[in-house]
Amino acid sequence: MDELTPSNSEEPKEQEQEKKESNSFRRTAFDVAVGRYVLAFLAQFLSGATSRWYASQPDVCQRVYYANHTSHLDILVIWASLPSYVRRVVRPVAAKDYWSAGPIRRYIATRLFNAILLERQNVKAHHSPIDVMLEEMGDKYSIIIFPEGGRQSSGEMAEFKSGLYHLCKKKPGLELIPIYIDNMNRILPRGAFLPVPLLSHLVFGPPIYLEKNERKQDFLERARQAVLDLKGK
Amino acid sequence: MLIVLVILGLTSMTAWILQRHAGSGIDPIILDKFGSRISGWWLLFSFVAAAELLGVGVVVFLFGAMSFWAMREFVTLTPTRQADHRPLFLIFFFCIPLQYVFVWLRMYSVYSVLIPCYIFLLIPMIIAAFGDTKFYLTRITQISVSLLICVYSLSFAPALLTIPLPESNGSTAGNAGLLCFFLLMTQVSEFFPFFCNYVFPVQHSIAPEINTSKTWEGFGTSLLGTALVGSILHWATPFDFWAAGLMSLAIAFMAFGGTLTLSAIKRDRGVTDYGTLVTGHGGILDRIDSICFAAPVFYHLTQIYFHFFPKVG
Repeated sequence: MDELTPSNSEEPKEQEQEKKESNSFRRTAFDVAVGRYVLAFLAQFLSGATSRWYASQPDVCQRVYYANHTSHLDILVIWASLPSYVRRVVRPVAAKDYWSAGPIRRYIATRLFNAILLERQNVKAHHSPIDVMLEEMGDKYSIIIFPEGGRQSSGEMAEFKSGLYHLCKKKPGLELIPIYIDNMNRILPRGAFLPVPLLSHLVFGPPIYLEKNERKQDFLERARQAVLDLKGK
Repeated sequence: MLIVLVILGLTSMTAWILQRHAGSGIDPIILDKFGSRISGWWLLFSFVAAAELLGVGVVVFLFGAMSFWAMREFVTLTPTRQADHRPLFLIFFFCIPLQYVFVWLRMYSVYSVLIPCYIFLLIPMIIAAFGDTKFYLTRITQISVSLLICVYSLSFAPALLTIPLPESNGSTAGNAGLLCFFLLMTQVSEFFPFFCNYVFPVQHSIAPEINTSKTWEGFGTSLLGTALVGSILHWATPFDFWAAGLMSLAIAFMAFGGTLTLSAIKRDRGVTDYGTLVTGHGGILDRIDSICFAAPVFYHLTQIYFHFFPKVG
């Protein structure tokens, strides 16, 4: 939320501005820090999630984390599994209609997750979700996305939608980190409201990139395979 | 208590020294296993210390937490279907706490039948109501067995703290001593097969397709050794010399059976350790399998013993 503070402040007020910013930063930092801690703890407790970086390392550089999607908890658990210094530059991408309904959801999405909320209905052609994402990412923030487009009830992975490809096409050299989430569909499956606290596991894989002249279908298939390859790692 | 502390300190020290001198010719894998056992003993000892210092409630809570975690591991391992989701939620958040609350309240007549009578009949009903009959019998059995082992049986370990001891009993240790004796014997029984590896070069597996490290020789040594250690320690228990030995024998027998049973379940599901199921977790079920099986038997044998010999010692 700090990046939303207007940057067009006048030169002489710079010092004052800085002071104000650091003050407001401290104030937001408290409730956000506590909220994030509680949220991360809850996520860990309910999902019993352990994570592993397979041939890959956590880093604060700009990345796109993408994973298979079976549960509402996915986003929370990926976010909670990242080291806290990485978490600070990560913004999950979520559906606006779901996450801005009600004050609690909105608080979690905008304050704690610092999420990028996207319209699912009435998408404008000149201002596509991809553009919104890139705009919000700037060159600082990483994002978490689920390229299948929705939660799968079977536990099988669906084909990827083309968003991942267009994102990489518009921002060449973007680093993609595949994540495989295991067992989450049994903890909070689609359609269930109450979680069963079983154990789950996350594997973060080695980065992949969009190759020059790679065809859309090939790239999406390769990205999907990268997630599947992490199964059982 | 103090003696246990000294024994623990000495074994930890031995293990530490052995680990430092890695080239001493002892198999490092066995050493590693031994080391993890010792850390388990420390954990169990801290339980008993908690019973002594903080009261029964804390110990009951700790065992409840262990049940919860063991149940997570067990159910994660067994295939369930979407229709089992709600019954499982009820088990995790209502059944486990209820069982331990009744143990804490010392209501034997409730906690001894809560799971076998009510829950075992309710679960098939709820699952049937969802209308998913695929592998129905297998699923209800899996859930029932996991509850029986991880929750019902284990809850008899903290219940040892609630057995009314005969007043004129010579033992000074009381209920905490009873729990301590029980936990110590389960751990001692697991220790003897390690020892056995050096005595018998050729051993005969009981069920080679389940667990090759469970041998007749190890089983025999464990029974006799635990009985011997138990009878030597009889002064710290409410039992006399022979009774303490026989109790230890029963504990060793059940502990061995518990490890073997859970090994069989692991083989069935194709994993080597509950710990490796999900990387990074300790695998609590690997640690407590022997306690789970021995606890209800030891509890009831103790009650029977007090029934027949109310004023011994």
